[in-house]
Amino acid sequence: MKGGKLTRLVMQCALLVFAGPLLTLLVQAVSLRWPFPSLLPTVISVRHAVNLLWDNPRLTEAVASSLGIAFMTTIFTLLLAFPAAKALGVYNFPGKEAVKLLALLPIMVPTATVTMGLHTGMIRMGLAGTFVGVAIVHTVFTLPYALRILMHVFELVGDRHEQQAAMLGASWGRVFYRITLPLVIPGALSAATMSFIISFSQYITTFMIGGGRIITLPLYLVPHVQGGEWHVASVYSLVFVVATLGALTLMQYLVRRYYRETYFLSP
Amino acid sequence: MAGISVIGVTKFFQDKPTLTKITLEVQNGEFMALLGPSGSGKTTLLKIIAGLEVPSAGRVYINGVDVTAVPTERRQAIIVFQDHSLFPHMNVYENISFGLRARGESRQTVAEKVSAMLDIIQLPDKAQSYPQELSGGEKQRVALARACVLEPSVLLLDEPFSNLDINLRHSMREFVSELHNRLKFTCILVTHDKEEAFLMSNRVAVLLDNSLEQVATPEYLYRSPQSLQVATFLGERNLFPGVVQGGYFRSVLGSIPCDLPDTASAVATCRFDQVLLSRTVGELEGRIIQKAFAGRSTTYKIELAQGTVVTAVCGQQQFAVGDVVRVGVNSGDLLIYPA
Amino acid sequence: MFLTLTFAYALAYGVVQSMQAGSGAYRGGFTLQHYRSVLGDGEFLISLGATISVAVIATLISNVLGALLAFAMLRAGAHGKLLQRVLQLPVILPHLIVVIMVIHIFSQTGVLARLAWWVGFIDNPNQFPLLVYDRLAIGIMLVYLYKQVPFVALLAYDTLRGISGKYAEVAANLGASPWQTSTQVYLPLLKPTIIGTSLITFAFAFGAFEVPFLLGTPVWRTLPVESYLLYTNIDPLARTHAMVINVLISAISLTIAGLYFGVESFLNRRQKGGEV
Repeated sequence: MKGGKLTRLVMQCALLVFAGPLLTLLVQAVSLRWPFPSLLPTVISVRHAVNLLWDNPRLTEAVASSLGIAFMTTIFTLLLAFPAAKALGVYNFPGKEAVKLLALLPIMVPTATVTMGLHTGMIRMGLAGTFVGVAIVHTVFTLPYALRILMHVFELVGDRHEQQAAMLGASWGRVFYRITLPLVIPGALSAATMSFIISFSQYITTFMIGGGRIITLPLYLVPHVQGGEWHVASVYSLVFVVATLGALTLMQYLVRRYYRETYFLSP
Repeated sequence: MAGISVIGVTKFFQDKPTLTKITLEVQNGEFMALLGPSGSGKTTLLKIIAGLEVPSAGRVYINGVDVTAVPTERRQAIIVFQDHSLFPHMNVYENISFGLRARGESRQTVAEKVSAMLDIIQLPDKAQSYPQELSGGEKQRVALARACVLEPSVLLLDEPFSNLDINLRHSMREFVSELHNRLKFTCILVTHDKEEAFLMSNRVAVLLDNSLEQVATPEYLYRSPQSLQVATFLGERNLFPGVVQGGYFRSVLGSIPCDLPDTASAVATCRFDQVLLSRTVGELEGRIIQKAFAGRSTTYKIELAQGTVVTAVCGQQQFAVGDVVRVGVNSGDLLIYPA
Repeated sequence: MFLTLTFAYALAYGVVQSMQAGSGAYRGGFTLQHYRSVLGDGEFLISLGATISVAVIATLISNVLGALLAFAMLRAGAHGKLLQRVLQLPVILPHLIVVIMVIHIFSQTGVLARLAWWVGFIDNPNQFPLLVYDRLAIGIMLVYLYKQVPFVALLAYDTLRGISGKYAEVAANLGASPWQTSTQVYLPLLKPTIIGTSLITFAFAFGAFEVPFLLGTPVWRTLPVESYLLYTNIDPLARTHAMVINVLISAISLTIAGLYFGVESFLNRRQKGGEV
């Protein structure tokens, strides 16, 4: 079924359509002036773009907030997802399907809607406007993905190894550290990556729960978009993409390094 | 005119050879077994004949026609895989009739042919069932029916019985043999099981290390493996290393006349069942160190004076571990190969 | 011991969910009065209609295009695998950035408009059709498509490759032409995947906030945006109406979720009977 000219055309179009727009982002980022109707920017200045990034305490604060919250979210997610995924993936208990359903719900219900519902609750608990509060809300939305991934891993792996170790006399902590963890690390990293990305790109949740006191990168970006400041918006977007890709590559690198040291089961 | 001719077929997968200059002729209507260890390229050869793979070099002929460039849809060579690959979204009737419908046969004809086939495979009331509802043996029969209903001139079977348990395997083997007698297609059966190959085929082709080592009838192969590799693969043989000097093979067995040129390294083999044990008669002396009773036969391991261990299989079990026995082999039974 | 942890977790979960729905219900004071007033409101109905239409159209187009693209990728062999890697980028990109890109290209002063000027089609920006912030939600749709088509294509491609390895070979060997194999083998086996992606894309398009918020026309708003605007209104009655809308949105989303799980378990049952 090797295709001919039409297939090749489709491939090239797809490449153009999906990879192309990123180029415009890049060009916008370095063009100081690009008035209609010129096809190319009239003034290109990389230096200006760099200056924009360099001397900008609010931007740095936004990036730091984003990263911080994303890390917090990831940790919360993993802490909660691990035991739940293990229970759901390995054991059988009454009501299992119901719990599964409940747990995977936030993917289907719209973010904004759920957030509005959580908002009053958060205020009452005094968590509105705090980093922790925002991270908690992010966790609500990252948990389903992390759970899905980890459940899968646990389903594949089962608990025979832990049982084996326990029979041989290992303590609970030892079992976890030396047996469970290594088997699950690839899935855990995948779940962590997802959580990080999702948290990093959250807008409406941070906006509402943060109550204006917490500014993350997306929140910093949006006013520029609404105000039509394309140059600035593009530069910040690139920061966004770079930060996300950077975090992703880091995690993937760690996974690969880990894989080289242990030859474990490929999922 | 041969049913299948494979001439000089070579196949590389990412620079690694899977098949090297295979030349094979299968007679029209013949049942040939392709025997070899896992990974020896048997499946690849089958796929090349079926048209699912393109050889890196060489040609394939079916019924005298060069089909090397013919796509699989138009070849008359149907392959049945180990995991039967029944379409899960179609019931038995739709699976079996798939090829007929693809050809555009009328609904009437299709119904008749499928119904006849269902009778042959003895599943007349499973027409509406789905593959998931069938047992392993039933699925395999449906897969065979799906292929045979198209009346192919060539049927290619890729280890179709490996997934079935023993009793089922026996009945399926009989079933396929009967099918072959009835429909008279040319058939190649790929297997790594010697017994299966011997039982079912007219001739056996031994594929070792990506090349064809020997093609012969089962009896001939059993008695006279052509090379040391084939002999070792067929197994159940004792190996006696030695040297050839001046027309004689010298080893722990003594000096045996041999017409190989002088070699520093040669091996003589004999089958386990060709070793003669007796309390009184035999050139060599040894002690029984192991005995394994398996019903029809008993396997003994005997340690000879020089330390060599010989395995013998015989129908009697008169000896016990520790017994001293005399061991002999007819020199006519010994096959000597350069190593 | 893990069990107790999970129960605690599941409980916390349930609490969160009910809190969310609960706030909506409490605000309503357990009367249906607010529901009636919201449902009777013209603007609400327009929003509902618009939101559903946009979601349906986006789902249709993205799933059809995605499936076709997946087929093309399958036929393209190595190029297809390359595209598979490229397509992962749109899936990862946040909607915000896609919005920016769409505005760059399709706005009246965007790249396409400038090309049009160069070719001589228009003389000034206003002559270029309004594609973003427009009544037909074209801009919004473009953002959805940019994210969803790769999503559908990637999932479909995976499925197709699985089918290709196993069943397509057999079908061809039995004499089926490529077209016959496509319609009788690939398509039916692809259906479950596409149903899944359709439900997901619909749910997403229906409940999305950021995109219609930034690219919407002032003439109408999608339901989530409408809800948000009411929620941030000082008037407490507006807040209540917002929660009512939220409950309705949740109800619709949960129905879709139910459908999705229903389909998934139906398929699992079909396959579990299964293959060695």
